[in-house]
Amino acid sequence: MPRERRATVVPRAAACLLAGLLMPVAVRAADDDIIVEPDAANAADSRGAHLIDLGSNFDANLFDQRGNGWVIRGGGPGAAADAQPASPAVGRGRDLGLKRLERIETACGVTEEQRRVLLLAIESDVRRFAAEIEAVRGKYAGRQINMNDQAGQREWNAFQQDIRRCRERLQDLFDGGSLFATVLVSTLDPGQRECLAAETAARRSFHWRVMVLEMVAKLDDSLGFDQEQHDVVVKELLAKEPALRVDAEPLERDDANLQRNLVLMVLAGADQRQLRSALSEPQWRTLSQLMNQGRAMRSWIEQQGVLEGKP
Amino acid sequence: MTGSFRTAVLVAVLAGLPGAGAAAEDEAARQAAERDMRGLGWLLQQGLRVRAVAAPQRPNEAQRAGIEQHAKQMERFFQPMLHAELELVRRSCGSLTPAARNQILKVGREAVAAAAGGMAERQLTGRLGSDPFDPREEIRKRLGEAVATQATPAELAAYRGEVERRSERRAEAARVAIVARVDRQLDLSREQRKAIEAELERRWQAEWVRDLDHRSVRINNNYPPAPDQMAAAIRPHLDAGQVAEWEEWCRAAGSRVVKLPFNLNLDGQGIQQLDSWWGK
Repeated sequence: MPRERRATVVPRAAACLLAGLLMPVAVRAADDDIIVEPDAANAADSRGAHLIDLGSNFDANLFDQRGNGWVIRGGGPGAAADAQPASPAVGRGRDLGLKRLERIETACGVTEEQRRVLLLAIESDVRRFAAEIEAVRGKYAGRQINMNDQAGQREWNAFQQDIRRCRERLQDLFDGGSLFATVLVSTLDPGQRECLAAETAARRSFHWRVMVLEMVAKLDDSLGFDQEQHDVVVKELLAKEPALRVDAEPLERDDANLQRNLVLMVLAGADQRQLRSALSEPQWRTLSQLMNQGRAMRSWIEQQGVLEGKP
Repeated sequence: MTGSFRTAVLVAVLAGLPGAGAAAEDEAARQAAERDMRGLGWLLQQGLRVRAVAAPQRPNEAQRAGIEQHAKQMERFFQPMLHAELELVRRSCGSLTPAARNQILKVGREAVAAAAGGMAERQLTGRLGSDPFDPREEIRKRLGEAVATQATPAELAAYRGEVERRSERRAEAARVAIVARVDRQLDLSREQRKAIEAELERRWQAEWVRDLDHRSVRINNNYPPAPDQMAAAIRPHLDAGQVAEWEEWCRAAGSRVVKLPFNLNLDGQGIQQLDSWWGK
């Protein structure tokens, strides 16, 4: 289950220790964890106030943090007085757009004219996205809160809600409803569209197969499957391939926990009689518990944006 | 023994030497001190090298008590590994007599205790990274030996066949996971994915299966570890742009940069209760 540890309830000494332990490794939070970076951990002043500058944390949480993780950076007296740097929204949006365009070029090839049109669409989507983000980001410029009081915590929660909405917007930047998605359909010829669809489907199937084989290899270890049982489970799972978003960040995140739960969720929707008859009683009992966990994680999985149309 | 530890030992020893370091005020004394340091450093290195290649450090009495206690707790976590393997034995060797089952079960329980002991000892004596030990394999190995003495030749062959196929399945899962990691980083085409998967299969080395245990590890500015040990199977199938990205990735997060820790993947639940076929 995703956990949420509030930095405000982490004792100061523990927060410092945590920050010290985290220093040598890359800053990447597991889902819903909060990483308190060293400067922020030391930002508590002598009166016990733990000051956080939301302006400087906005970009870090929207653009640098993957998944549902949270990071608390900087803070302390005077931090809020620093001017907010330019938003990375345009640059990040362009990078995502160019990456998607590159994938399309690789899959079906595009003419110079098609490329020009698609680049214009990307730029337009990116500008609109950046303006939306800037409006939210502006609310937090120079805004400093004390994480050790209730008002500060409420504001942190509101900040998290805003960041979540912005993350979803970033994920959907070039999906249906975007100018890019509309223009793509009218710009590519039928042969190119077919080719692109085939490439996308192949990539989706490949990554689903990877998730399935990895998870069932683990079930091999924990349930003692023989080949026949393994084949039944794999067949059921492959037949229920979900609509993975292959162009989106969640798939690229390579989150083992998300993938494990996704596979279990899909397995929970497979033909239970078929599974039941293939497995022994002890195996079935354990697998049922695992599938229940997967089923219970559905809304969390959908929130991650790993599936088309969700959220 | 790490380099930093060696340095720390060297510094600690040298700090107490007369004439070394800050006490050396003139040039001759400084040179003499440097010579002494080099000599002592060499001696220390030799000593440490002998220690490094010597038999694994044995725990002392105080450690032994802690290890036993830790091993007892660990047995609980390793029990499902035994149960899963016994389930495979039951399905492969259905004609085992109750006496044979008892014997296999007894060996299995001893194997769990041994695996827990081996793991606890390595953990509490700091040898986990330098002295590889896989408790699951330990249990399977001992159980396999017990099955060999009890099962009919046909059922033993069936069991061994299942074990072999399970290894192949795990290798396949590891292979496609490696391809997926490369795909996420370098945007492979369908043909490239197929070619790399086939080439990995052709060149497959058993230890590469450990790659499965390091999923979701992120290092160096969000790079996953680069599978550069498998470069011969990957690089020839990349285009020029991908090769440039591949090289950058390997520089940032290749095996020379990243030393992946020992990772025992217990991954949640397993079979808690054995089938009644095994008796009590």
